[in-house]
Amino acid sequence: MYKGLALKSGVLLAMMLFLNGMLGGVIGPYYSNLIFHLIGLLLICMIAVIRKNQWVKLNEIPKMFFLPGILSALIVLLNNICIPKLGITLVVGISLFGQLIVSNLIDHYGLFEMEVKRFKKEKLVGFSIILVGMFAMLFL
Amino acid sequence: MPCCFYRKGNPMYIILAVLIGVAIVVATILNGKLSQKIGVVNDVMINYFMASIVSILLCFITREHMLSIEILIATPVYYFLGGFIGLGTIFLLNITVPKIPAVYIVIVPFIGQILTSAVIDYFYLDIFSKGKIIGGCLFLVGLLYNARVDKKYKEDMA
Repeated sequence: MYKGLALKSGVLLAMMLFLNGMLGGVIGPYYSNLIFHLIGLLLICMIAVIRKNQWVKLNEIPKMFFLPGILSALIVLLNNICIPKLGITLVVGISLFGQLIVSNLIDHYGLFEMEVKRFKKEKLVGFSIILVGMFAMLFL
Repeated sequence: MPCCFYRKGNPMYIILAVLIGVAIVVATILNGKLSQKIGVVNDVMINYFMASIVSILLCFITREHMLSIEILIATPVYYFLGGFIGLGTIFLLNITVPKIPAVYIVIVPFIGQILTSAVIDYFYLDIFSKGKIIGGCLFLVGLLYNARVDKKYKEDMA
């Protein structure tokens, strides 16, 4: 059941990228990005009120944790900019490649206070196959 | 539309797409840590709050023209669903990630995402190619191979 949910979340992510891109086509990538986050902010505030959320003080949160929000704006904006030029499949594929490289670097060096997991050389085989896959997406 | 669509584009977009991946990983790690401390709802709220401020700043910096109400009204309503879906997937992934084996956390959503992307590209953007299906399959093989390597070492450690 949960695997089915995970699959659906992937489907929804692709639809989200598509709808943002279409909205960007009408009102531009920057406003599409803004509306996406304003709707999300409004919804999460409503959820917080309904669930009688325990609020936190902003000054008690380490500054580092304000970074994901900034990154989120950049992620949606860059998606809006890239998708009309490359198509969704390619953007999803290439960004997954970037994710794999960075997550392995973070594990290898234990960045962001993560547990150190040294890179296994065998994984280069998998990465090569993925790289070939990326070139297939680009060139075939 | 030629299948080598990207050649018309600028390689810059490929670099930007890699950057999207980098940002996703960093944001996911920090969000995970913060939501453990202050709960998912507070974490998501801070996330969207900061993102909204940055989005407003970006609109100012790029000197976008004021958004006219006429255009917004003329836009099909379902185009605005992205914001709802975005929040929905955060909660969906929050439910599923602790329940499925780590190997599947990346792979299963990826399958859903790449298949849907291929369908949308084909029907709406008219830029479908065989290479995308072949490439998607190779991605899957590579991901599964590396997942097996990880699993092997985990078992050796245990």
